Amino acid sequence: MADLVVRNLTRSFPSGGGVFDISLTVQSGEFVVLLGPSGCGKTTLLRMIAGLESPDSGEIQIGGGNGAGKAAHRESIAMVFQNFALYPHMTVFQNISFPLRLRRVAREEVERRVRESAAKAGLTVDLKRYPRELSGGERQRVALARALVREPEIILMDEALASLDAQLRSSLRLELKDFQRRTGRTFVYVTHDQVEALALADRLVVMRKGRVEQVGGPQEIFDRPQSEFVAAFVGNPPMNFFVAKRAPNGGSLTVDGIDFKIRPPERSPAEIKVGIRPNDLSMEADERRVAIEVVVESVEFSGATYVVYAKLGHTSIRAEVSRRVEAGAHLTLFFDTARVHLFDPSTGRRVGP
Amino acid sequence: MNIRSRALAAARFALSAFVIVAAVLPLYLLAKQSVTPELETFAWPPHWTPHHLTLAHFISVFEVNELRSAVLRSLGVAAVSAAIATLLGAMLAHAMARSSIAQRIGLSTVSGIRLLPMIAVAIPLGIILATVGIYDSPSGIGLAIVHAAIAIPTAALTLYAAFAAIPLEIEEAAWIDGASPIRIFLTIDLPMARASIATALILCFILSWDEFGFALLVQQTNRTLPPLLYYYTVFGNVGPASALALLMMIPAVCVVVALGPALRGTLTAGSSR
Repeated sequence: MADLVVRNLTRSFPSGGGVFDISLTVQSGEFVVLLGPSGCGKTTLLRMIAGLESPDSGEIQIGGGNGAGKAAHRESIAMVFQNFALYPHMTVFQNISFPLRLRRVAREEVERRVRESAAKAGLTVDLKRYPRELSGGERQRVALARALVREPEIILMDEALASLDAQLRSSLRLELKDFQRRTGRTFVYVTHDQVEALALADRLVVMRKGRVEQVGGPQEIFDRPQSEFVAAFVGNPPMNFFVAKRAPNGGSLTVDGIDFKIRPPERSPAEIKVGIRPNDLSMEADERRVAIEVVVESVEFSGATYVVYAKLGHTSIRAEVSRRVEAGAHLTLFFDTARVHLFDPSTGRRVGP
Repeated sequence: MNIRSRALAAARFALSAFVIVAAVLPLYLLAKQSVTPELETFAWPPHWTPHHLTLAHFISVFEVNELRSAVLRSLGVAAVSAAIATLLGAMLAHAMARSSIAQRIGLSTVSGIRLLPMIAVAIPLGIILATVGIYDSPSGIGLAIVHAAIAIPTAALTLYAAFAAIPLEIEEAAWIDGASPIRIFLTIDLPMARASIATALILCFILSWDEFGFALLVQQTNRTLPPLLYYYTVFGNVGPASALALLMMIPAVCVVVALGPALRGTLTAGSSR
């Protein structure tokens, strides 16, 4: 097994997109998710790792060997495409065995390894069937088995669950994670779905406009987003943002004249963006918590919780609470000042706490 | 129904009838000639239906040695040229479907070749074939090469849409699986475009089967069927010529009957969704 190292990788497109000066190290056996909105360069990065696209500058190494696109590099990676890219004129068996047949592996060994990787991928269908006769989930398993059959060190996946329906997606997500643990393979997985990303990743790479915004574990990304972009992109319902003013002579932050009782960090700008996650707003009173008065505008039932859309003065605010409230009601919400996020509005970077 | 739409319907009917008669009448006359005794063929006023029937023309056609070898030569030339043209046309079509530069160059070249008066290249071609030593060869290989060259645009245009319809992802998957470009072309692209490949083969086959001009020039003595038919007619053998002409239609009829629906589909493939 070998590490994947990406160094100062740049590839720009005439449209203005691409990736710019990206460096990244993926440990052997790690599940890394590239997360970002469409057009952020995550797929371009993945395709360069795969060797399908060549960088303008920078390098990609697997286990110390240099050169994406070279034979040794291609040998150590496999890829699962968004629409699976199965060969429609071949049976499932022929699809899975294709990489082995290209390498002139002996017939009995092909047979054995195809069955082995089909089993690992949880594929139970008759291998003599054609892809068009399979369901979306089965096709996904065929694609996975095909990627696995030549035992690559790294498996790349491009939005590999995006074309499946929601229920199948969540069950396959679990299986995929389990599969990665069992096989010990390195995974690089591209998605724009933050729920999927948080669930799968050992480490997340959040990307924006061709650059890495933040790298970290799912918990770290969620609890301590290093930029306003990451804070807004990860988490559902999305984080609330307020423009807060610093009270004169080192006082606390106020939003629309309401005192948030948050001490701004030293040398912070006069205006600060305060972020609070909807699930950090609660209806339970607590001594240490700050209370704010809101007027409920509408309520959405989301199954386990209620998402309350309300107004704090003139500012819209979302809260996720456990009890039902009525529209039009006046409500007191409480938040813990340790769980707020402070950003510099001019740079978007985190300034505290 | 008002008078106007009635008149329109009548006009439409008349036009359809005219087209059908114009297409079918020569075929009928041909069929009639082929079973009418030589003397009656030139009767005046002409007979619309034969008064005497004979199979002599067909029998004579099969008895002549030259004819048998011409049938085999025509089949061989058509098959070989269709295979070459389809393979090379497929490569061109694939390049056109995958690269915008190739598409621009390919489309202009292909339509340029079609606009070129073929007779303009006939003499140089003849000289080249003579130099190489395959002019008027008994196997017809020289003519097969010429026919292949003529048919490449037809093959390429037929296959272009088929290759363009294959998702790039599938080729990329094959590349990552370890396949070389030529391997991808042979094991992924060709099988996936097989319906269009069949169409291209048939179209190229028919193109060669009834090509006359180059066949007349290149196969001076070792003739294929169209020049042979021409000589039959020129020398006044109207009966055998008609029988031969009728026999030459067999491949085309087979294609239309057997592959009609499929052919209609692939001939218009890609023109609409």
